[in-house]
Amino acid sequence: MNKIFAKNFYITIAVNLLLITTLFGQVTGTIKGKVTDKSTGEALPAVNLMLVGTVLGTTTDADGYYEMNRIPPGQYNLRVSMMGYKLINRQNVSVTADKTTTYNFELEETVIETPEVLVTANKRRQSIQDTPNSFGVMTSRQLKEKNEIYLDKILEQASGVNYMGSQVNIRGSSGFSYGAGSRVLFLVDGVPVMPGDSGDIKWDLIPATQVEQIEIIKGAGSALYGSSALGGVINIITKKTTPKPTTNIRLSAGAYDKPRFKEWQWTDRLLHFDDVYIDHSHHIGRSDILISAGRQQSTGYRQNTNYQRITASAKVFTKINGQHNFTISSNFEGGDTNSGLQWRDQRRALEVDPVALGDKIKSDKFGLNAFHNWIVNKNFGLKTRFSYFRNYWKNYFHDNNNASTANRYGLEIQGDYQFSEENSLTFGTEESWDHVNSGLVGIHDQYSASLYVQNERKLVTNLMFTLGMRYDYQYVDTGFEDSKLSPKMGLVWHAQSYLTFRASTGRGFRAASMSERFSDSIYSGIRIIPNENLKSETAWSHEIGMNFIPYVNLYLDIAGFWNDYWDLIEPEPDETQTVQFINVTRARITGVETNLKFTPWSNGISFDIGYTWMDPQDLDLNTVLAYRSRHLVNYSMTYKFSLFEIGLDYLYVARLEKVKVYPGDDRVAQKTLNGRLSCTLGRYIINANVNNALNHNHTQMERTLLPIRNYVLSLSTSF
Amino acid sequence: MNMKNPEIKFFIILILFFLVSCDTDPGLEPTQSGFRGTIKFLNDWPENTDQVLVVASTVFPPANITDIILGDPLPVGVDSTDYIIYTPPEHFAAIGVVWKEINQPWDVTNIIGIYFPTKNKFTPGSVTIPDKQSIVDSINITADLSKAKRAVNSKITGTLRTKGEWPAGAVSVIVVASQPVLPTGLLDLSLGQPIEAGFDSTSYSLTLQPGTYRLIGVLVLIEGETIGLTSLKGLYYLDPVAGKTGSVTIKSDTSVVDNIDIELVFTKIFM
Repeated sequence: MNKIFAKNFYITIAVNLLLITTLFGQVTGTIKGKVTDKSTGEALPAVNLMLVGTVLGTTTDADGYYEMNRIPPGQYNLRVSMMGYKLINRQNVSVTADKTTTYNFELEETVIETPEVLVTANKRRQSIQDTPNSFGVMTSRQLKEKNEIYLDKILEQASGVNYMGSQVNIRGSSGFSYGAGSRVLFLVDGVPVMPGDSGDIKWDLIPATQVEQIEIIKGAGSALYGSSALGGVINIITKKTTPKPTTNIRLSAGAYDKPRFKEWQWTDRLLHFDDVYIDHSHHIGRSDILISAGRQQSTGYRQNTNYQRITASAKVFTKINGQHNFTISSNFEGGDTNSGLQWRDQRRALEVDPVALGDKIKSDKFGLNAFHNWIVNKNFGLKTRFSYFRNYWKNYFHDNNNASTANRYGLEIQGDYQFSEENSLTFGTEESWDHVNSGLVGIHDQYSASLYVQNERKLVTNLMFTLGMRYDYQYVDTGFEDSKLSPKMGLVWHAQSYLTFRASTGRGFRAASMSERFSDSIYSGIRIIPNENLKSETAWSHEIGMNFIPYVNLYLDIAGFWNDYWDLIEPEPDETQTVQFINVTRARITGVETNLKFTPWSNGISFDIGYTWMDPQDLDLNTVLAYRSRHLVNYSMTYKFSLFEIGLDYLYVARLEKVKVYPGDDRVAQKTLNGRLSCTLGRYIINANVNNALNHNHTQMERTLLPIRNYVLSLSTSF
Repeated sequence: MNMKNPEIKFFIILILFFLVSCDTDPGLEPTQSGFRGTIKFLNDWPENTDQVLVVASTVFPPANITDIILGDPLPVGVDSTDYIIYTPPEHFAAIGVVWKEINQPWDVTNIIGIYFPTKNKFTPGSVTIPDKQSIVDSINITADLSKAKRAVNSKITGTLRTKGEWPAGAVSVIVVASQPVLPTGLLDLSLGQPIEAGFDSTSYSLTLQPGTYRLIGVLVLIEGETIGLTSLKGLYYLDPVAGKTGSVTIKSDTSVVDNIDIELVFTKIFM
């Protein structure tokens, strides 16, 4: 660690210590109660309750009960919210010293979920309508509807999101960077989970069964989140622990149809997949515990793409008292995945190069997070997060046996000061250390340290203003240093109760991953050489948007965006056919995104339609930017009747106008139609899905055909 | 289910409308077009052979791995083999056989055979696949395994200088070396990497196997023109005044011979 880094490190530690203020004692009161469903009278677990203008909040337990204690006496506004239910704002909630007051609530169900959703875009829970950025949310109800285990398969149905292989694009930010680095930051419960070597997203780490909510922040978000939040941020909120002993089991099996063309049929075997998941919550002493395990296996639909994986996770929530609680969580995923990177040729699109038959990757990932939440007083909360993430892989390829181990340690301390209902301050510091030992990049260390601050305040009636800034410093063991200042500004104007306008501007950046900076190897016959002085990519995102909810059954969101990018990192072959990652592209992506949700007559039938138009320009070459689509459409309709729910999900991604590796190949638009049917019989839910029902053949990553039509049947139960 | 319910009717109509609007577009389809032929191998197979492939290039010589398409690996150790490459309709400037050494990256200049439809061994035959149903037949190639180039550190280096105006359409230049003083075809030439045209002076480096090279020169590639000996616009001379060409001997895998400087004279016909 060099002197400059050490100096910065000590400064940030000192700031951390300054953040920890002493608790002052005072006489307090308690409120408690029960939250139920208005129509059924059933208790509602996991309902959010917040005292507006403070950092105090809680959630209901499995029986719908809640209790908030150590509240200073006074009058408060209590906000009660839950996905799928109308928000309740109870005014003049009275808290009396040394007394417990009871407030019960009945929540009314709604089909339009978004307006009431609480999100953590600004590192604290707030209504989605109070955020100046465009936001996408997938709730646990929507996750259940999709009946899909893999998060990437769920996320691609979100508005403005599409994929290139495993690489996620938010509003065209990412393009295709060959699995090295990601221009979208991936968080699990607010903690970055991206390996230090490749810096990409490991979608298989957490199965959807363990997810409570997915939040998609669109546009540059480095002002709060630092590196990689260039095009957006995806935050996975994992399932909460519950004090009541609960066990959930999901069994699922499926099979692939035959390919549409006989030339593509590479085997007479039935190609199939199955998975099983179980989780259990329990209460022991002061702690709520959630453990889960799962196994997935598949023959693959393409040659040499079979896999076997296991996942496991544990989460322990301990409430010491009304002021302190701890959460410790860990995730593990490991297994063997055969590797079929590209098709043999378009004539044999589901076969791979014969020499690559048997190529496989063994990998495992382990994450450990520890959170401490300290409510210092009703206006000040302090959160401390420690994280560790290990990513190991080893190739068993015909032409290489590279292996890599990447360890990442992170520490974040965040303070939230709520001056009043109209004025809040979020500030903190975040440090990380990556240590990589890899056959591909060698042995390297990378450190980063940052400070951030953000103020949200009401300027005039119904006009909220956000101003934030983050400073990031990065040091690589080769002596490379870089620092970035990422400001952000946002406005939210609640013009009417049904009409909200928003505007934001912010800077984003992405530091090069170690595999982009240090790769020195021969991979699939191509020599890759290092570029130790690779600069960070940077971006400015500007956006204006409008949110219109004239009726309870109609929700419309429109946003226009203008994103500028500098020094985009791309792999470039030189005249000696040697590939090196270099800063090459100056780009601009402008566009419009709309999202419409409506229920025409009643709550029985609902529609969710998203459309994104983009104009991706490579300003260096004055051409369209490679690997970006101009049009993204996602369309979903659901009809609920009796015990049944039937739905269709359609995804359209326009043909890529420009690609770099195989420009002569055929390219078509992606048209994916998925059908779903579910039936709820008491505590059992049966789901039947047909994915890619039209058996449309398309690629995202060049020369890799996406899954052909497949059928899935699953059974879920909870007891 | 009560079909009189307007919601259900509406939903069913929407689904039907939606399915119809999705049409029956299959998306990508298997390629039916391509080309095929027979590869005949001459001489012994090198022990360090990893793969041998048929490659087709939209430009010749290929400057980049993205200029070429690769066929399946051919069987190693055989005297001859049939092949077929499926590819969408395209015009290929050249089709050849490329050799790859174990533990080494692909080198598209490591060519051991080229499709020559005529006796002119300097001009590769182009192949045009006219439509999505056509398989162009008899693209037969003789591959000489003795032309396979191992990975070595031996090379010549020097400076290229130009005299006069660059010809219109000049795209790039390639330094070449041949062991025979009069090469009988492209396969006698060791090819360097293309250097972009337009320079007054530039340095170069050409990797060579051990041996004595009696001809070292520079080919100038003109857009739209086929490559041949008339493309030669510079030679390495020991005595430029007397017109005495120089030869270079590479003694080992690590030999480096410097100062092999060449002047390009665009108006001159060397051969």
